[in-house]
Amino acid sequence: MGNMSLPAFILAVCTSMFRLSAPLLFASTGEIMSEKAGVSNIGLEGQMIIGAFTSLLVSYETGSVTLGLLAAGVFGALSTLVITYLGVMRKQNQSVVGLMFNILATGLTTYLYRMIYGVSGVAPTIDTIKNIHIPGLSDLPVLGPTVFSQNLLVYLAIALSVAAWYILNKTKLGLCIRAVGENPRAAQAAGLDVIRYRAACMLFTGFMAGIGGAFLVVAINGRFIDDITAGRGYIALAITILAGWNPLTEIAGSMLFGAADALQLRAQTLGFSIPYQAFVMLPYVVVLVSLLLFGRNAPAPRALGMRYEKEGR
Amino acid sequence: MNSKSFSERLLSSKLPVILLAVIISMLLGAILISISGGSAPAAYRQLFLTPFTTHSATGDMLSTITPLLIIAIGVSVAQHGGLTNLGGNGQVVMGGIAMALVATSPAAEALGPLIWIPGFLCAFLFGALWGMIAGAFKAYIHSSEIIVSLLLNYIAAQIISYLLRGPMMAQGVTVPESELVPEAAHMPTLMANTSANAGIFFAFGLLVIYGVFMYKTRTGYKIRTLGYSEKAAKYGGVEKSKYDVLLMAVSGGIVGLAGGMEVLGGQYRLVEGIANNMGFTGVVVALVGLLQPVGIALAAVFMAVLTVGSKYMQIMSKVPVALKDVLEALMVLFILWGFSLNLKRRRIKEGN
Amino acid sequence: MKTFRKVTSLLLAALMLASLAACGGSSSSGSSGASAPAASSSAPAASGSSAAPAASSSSSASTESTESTEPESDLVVDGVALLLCGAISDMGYNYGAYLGLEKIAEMGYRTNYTENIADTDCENMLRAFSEQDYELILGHGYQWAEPILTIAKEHPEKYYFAYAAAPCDESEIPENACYLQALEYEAAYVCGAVAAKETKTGVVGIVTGAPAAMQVGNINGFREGALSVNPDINVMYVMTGTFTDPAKGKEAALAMIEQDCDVLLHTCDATGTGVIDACNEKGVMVMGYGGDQRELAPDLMATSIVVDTAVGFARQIDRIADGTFGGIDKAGFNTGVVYMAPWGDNVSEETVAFAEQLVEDISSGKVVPTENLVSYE
Repeated sequence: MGNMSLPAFILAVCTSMFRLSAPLLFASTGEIMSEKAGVSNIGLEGQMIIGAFTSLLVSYETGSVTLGLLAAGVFGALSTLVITYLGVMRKQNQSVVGLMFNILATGLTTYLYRMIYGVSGVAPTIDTIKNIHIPGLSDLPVLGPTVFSQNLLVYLAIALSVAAWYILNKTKLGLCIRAVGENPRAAQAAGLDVIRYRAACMLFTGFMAGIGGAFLVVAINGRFIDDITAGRGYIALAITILAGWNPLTEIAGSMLFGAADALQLRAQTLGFSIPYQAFVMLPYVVVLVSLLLFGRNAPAPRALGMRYEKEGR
Repeated sequence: MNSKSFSERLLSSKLPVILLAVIISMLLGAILISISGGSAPAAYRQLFLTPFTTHSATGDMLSTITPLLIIAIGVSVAQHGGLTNLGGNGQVVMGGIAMALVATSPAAEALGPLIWIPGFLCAFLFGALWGMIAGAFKAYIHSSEIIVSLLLNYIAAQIISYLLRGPMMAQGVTVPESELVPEAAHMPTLMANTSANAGIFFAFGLLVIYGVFMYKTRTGYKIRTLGYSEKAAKYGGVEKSKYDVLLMAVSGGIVGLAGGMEVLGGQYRLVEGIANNMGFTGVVVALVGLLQPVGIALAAVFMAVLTVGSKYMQIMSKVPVALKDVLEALMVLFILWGFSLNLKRRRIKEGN
Repeated sequence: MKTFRKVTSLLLAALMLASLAACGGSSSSGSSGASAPAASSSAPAASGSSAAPAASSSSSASTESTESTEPESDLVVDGVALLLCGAISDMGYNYGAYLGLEKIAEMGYRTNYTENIADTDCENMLRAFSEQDYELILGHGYQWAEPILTIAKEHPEKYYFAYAAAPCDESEIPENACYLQALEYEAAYVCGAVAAKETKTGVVGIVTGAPAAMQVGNINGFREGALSVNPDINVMYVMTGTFTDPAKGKEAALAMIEQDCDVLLHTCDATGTGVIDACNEKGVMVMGYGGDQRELAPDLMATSIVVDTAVGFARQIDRIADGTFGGIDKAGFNTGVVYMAPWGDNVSEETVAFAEQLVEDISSGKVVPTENLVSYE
């Protein structure tokens, strides 16, 4: 493959895959939680960019990446209140609320960044977090450099996905969340406060999306660019569905997309004379094809996106 | 249910709320504008007045209404049936590709305006195909048509990028664009030296057809019941999955017409940015207009004024570009909030 | 419900207060090197022009114009407007144009600019500016090539300029329209040659954004330059598809470095900063674009392709003054519009001497890189 042997090429793609899929992992795990509760949160993109901006602002000003990450999560979470209020409590069309929220968030972060840091050839930069070295595991021949030498956030993302699966399927809390998403009327009758559960799940989604967005700044670029998320929030939405609202398969879905992205960029260096647009299109096509092949057996939460009328029959 | 008085009643209760929403967003926006060093009163004067007082701005506004209106109609058709079509951008691109293929072919020069018939037909078909994919995913795989149509936007963007740099690229240029539509086949211009064209009549004509179909025919009624409640629809003998595909196809087709119109009257050729995010703005117009013909028309004018006015606001008051988006988003969000207040009030009135 | 409404509005207010506080905080916090220049340019960035704060809506704003050129034409150039399809925060192409405009403003002209203009809006924006008080209207990028032809005919009293390849024969260009084609590929050629000289692995690479004419020209120029030094060299290229996604740029660069590439050139603005990041991480020689990007990689930046838009713009004002405005202005090394940024210490003296000679040769016409703006396969 170009200058590399095939195994080396595959390994390179795999290493890259973890890095590229991390933001998607965080965002779609969060999204699964809110959709399981019945909220169709299109505003993922906006929550991610708020997280990205906040992480740069706080990390740069305080010098602490940890604080930056925390702030990113907190502000991402807080921002979901807009969608929760308008889309859940006020029963407006959740897609439009989400869309406009994204536009608002992107515009606001661009504006604020410009106001605070101005325009220059050298943007405020922070040191990105480094990959870790696990004694023993990182030195394994094949898996070492790819699987066991990523940065902490990647492992956190995977851990959180597993935790989300556990919570949703093995705990009472998860049962309540799912009830609220499948049949809110019955859940209400059983004594669950539907709105409160949905709001709480949205807070979780916002927190995760915020960190997912922050990953782009804190782990990859070290700086903030207008619209740095570049549509990843929408991809995460697709992955949520692709995974059948199951956090475990969602890990695979995110990795799939990450791998397609990694492949796309590398394939160009191999000098194939296929128009480069085919490469750029590849990840999206992959998601659609996967939906076609595997999506059939994934029923959505029955009350997803539907207006919840507290009163009435 | 007499549609005209219904919308009259609706509007009389909505307008003050919409006004309130716009004022609140303007106040918030004024804070942001002032922080950035601009003058809010001047900025808003440009935002709302220039589209009516400057020749080029008025022309720009008129030409912006046309595609927004058509797209909103398309989106509304699907929305009545309970489907949210966010694939407008991709469908506009597909419709534009179709129209460009037809209208820049050798036949166009000879046929002149007659080429519009096959042109719009193809634009509809291409757009319908694109919408149908999302509908089929919804009907047979039960995937969200929202997500699939969103993904299709990205794919359409790459398709047009490739076509305009390859097979459809005009001779002898280094810019991604198609051949020019021959002048004989241009949409007649309404205002000299602007892009305002006769397409606006077509758009309003389509609006009338939409209103009649949706509110005066049995099929329209069936579709609206379907959107209201799946159970009720089944009761009335409507098969949901068949309608999902059909509705998305029709919706996509109508939106594709807007793409065709942009090629014939807005740009006179196919360019990469032909959709210009109108797919999303059209959804906003449809929803703010409450899917009603009169509402959609007013909302389209409002959005066109905002879009054009904010360009001038930028130029003349040096308001940062990003604030234009912030302002538009704030207005729509507050309008939606305002609608929700009304809903409550009406319910209380009806003694629920 | 009422409480939620209160809470939301309080939160919005809090968010705004927080951002206000952040504004105040950062400008008083002493600031490290990077934010100092940013703080000084944030005011002009906000008002859009360093010459005229808070413009009024009337078209005859007061002018502080002390023209440096003697007006011999009937129209005195007093106001200059710059129209951009990208954002000035892209740290490359559009930022460079913005800097150029600032220098024009420093010369005493009234300036204004608009950014993030959609492709389909180009004509309308040109019309809008033509109705205002700007005599010279600059369109930066290939999107402006056609529109200025149309609008130039509608407004024969104004001057239109596009930084782009002309879409037609020089004879078909109206008198008041002009195209500046900066010959970036000349610089890319030099970069390719230098890369070929400095590479230890025989693999070099270029990362670009989209197949716009200049970008395609750069790929071809880079390749030709590299091959002219070493016919067996392996030249890789990636087109990321975006000028604003640093993560993609970083991936693309890493992909090449994995394949033994040890010298990289980027020509993709913000995406390119990701390329530079990757090179920093892996300790690989890199070449920049847009302006002198040495600060982004002090030890690894060999040079940058610099297009001096200020010189490019100022040239047009001079040409209006002495009546030679119009047509196609192909500006390469010999005009000072394109030049190489100072060489880094990581480039061997021998190569620097070779490169400087090469630049001279291209300037004088002794070496002529092929101009291919169309296909790069």
